Amino acid sequence: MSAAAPTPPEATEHHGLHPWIYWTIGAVVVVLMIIGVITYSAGKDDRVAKQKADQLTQKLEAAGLPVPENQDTITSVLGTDGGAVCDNPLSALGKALLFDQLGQGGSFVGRRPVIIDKRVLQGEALILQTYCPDKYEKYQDQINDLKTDNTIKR
Amino acid sequence: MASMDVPADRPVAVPAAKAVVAKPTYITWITLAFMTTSSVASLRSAPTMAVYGLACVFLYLVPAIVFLLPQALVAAELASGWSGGVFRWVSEGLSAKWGLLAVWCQFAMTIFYYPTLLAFVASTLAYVFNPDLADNGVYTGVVIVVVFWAGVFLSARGGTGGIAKLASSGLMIGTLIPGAILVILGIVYLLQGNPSAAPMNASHLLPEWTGIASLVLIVNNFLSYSGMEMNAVHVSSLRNPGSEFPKAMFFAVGLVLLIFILPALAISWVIPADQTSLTAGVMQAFSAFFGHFGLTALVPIVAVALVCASAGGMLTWLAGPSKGLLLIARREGYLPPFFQDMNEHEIPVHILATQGIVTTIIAIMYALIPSVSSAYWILSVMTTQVYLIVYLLMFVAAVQLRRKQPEVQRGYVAPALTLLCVVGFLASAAAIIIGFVPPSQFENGSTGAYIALILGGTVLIGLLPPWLFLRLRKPGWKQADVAEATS
Repeated sequence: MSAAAPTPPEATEHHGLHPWIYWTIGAVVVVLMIIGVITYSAGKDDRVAKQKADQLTQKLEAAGLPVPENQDTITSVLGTDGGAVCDNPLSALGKALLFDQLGQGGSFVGRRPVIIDKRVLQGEALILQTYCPDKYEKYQDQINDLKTDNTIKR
Repeated sequence: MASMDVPADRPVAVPAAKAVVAKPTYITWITLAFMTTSSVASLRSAPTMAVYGLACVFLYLVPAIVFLLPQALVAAELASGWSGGVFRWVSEGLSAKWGLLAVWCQFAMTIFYYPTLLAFVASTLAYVFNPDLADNGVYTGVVIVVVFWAGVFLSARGGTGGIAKLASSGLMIGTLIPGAILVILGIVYLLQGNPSAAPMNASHLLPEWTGIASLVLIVNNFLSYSGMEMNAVHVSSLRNPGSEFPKAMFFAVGLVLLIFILPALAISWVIPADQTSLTAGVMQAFSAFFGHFGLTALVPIVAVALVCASAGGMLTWLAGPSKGLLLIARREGYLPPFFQDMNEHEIPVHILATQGIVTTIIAIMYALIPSVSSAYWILSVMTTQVYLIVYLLMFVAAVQLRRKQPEVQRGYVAPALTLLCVVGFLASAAAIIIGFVPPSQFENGSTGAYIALILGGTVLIGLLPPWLFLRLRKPGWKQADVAEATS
């Protein structure tokens, strides 16, 4: 049984890791950022990209979904080929991310799935339909199995 | 749990594990507040919550009142009176066996949470460098192994001081600065005269009510604040734990609320709810957000920053529960001597290494085998149920400690503690009950089978291992000197 509040024993200021470890971590972070800036390519903003963005906008409107004010937002993210959305929607990692994103709660621990709104899945389905129709059907099969509800206020 | 109440065997004075004289370490209360914040909050949930628009404020504030506040105030009182964290509080308030259950539940949860975090790290880096990499098993495996074992190495070598520095830096680089940028850009967007993508009027303050789905949504968000109590295990690293821990806790509460609410709102102003891609992950929402402002060059920088925040949070989780498990293992002899070994920084290296091997195997299966990743959410549900048991025990222990040990000097005395504990207990119990409601992924199965599955998993992960530890322990595992020192 404790008789009193804990009193810290005699101690010295602790400096944690060797300074070179902090410097190495910092350098790795900076190098990764630089490589990222060099290698990251936003979507191509050409005529084809604009056409695709128009098609997507029409599909979103037809589905009764809101469209971005600025079409450039679509072209810069999705480009001509749908970007990362079309890259791996059905790989193991893509599936893992889909199911993780269907969850809610903690950023770290305490995250678990909920019953999501259909709108959240619909937008991605329309992107796949427009930019990579070959991947649309399988994705649609996958999300057809999901239970949804109207949890987002219109 | 009847066996939990069997008295412990008499200790024998046999030094079971390698004796190490640990040098205590000091950290400031602001550092501890940053550690706590980095264990709980990040921008990773912002796009997911942004789809609810203005209602995300409600979805964060209600759980803050019924779960975060009781948890924070109760943990502040307990940590200002007893060092050692949740194992010590529950051990003193209930019994050492219940203390073992509490700390095991906290520890077991983390084993299954790392794979999802590591998959997020791998996919975020792939998004920036080459999205095709996300399909490459070798790449995913290498990222998982390197990031996780680097974390284990830093936790083992850094001690509380080193982990605190790295976690604080991760929070600053990967959460506070990008979060501030998101909020400033969001405000600029509105000031430019653009209409908010999500309606921001009074009728959208509350989420849509559709019955059970809405209830799941609201109650599940209690879990956003899981882990606020976890860093209390480092309370003895503060110079004046009694006064500094409560300060750290209150500061962390404020930061966590700001980090959760403001960036999610900012994203909802700019990106319509249906235009976030779930499979392309969080970065797609950030790309769309920055793309609107013509700032796509920021995307890779923010991606690496988010990885830093995730890694920083992971370090705190590696260091916290394992330390609690070590403390109770040494004091009560609940684990074999091999697992009681610690290095000069008081880090349980063998527990960490064993956990690391198990986590690596699970994480690689999770990221590479589609059937495992498809079913993994079930483990998340089970382990969340297991983690909520910690809160049930903590709230009961707090009331018991007020009654049984009123003479213990607390640096902070929580107002209306019993009421706080009742509210917190009921909120935790509600979150457990809601955990039995089948989510989106469970479309065609029977609800009864789902409940049985979750219940079985909860028993298997949360209750069976501590029961086995108690059944199989040997008197020689208890270290008499540690028992003396902590009683």
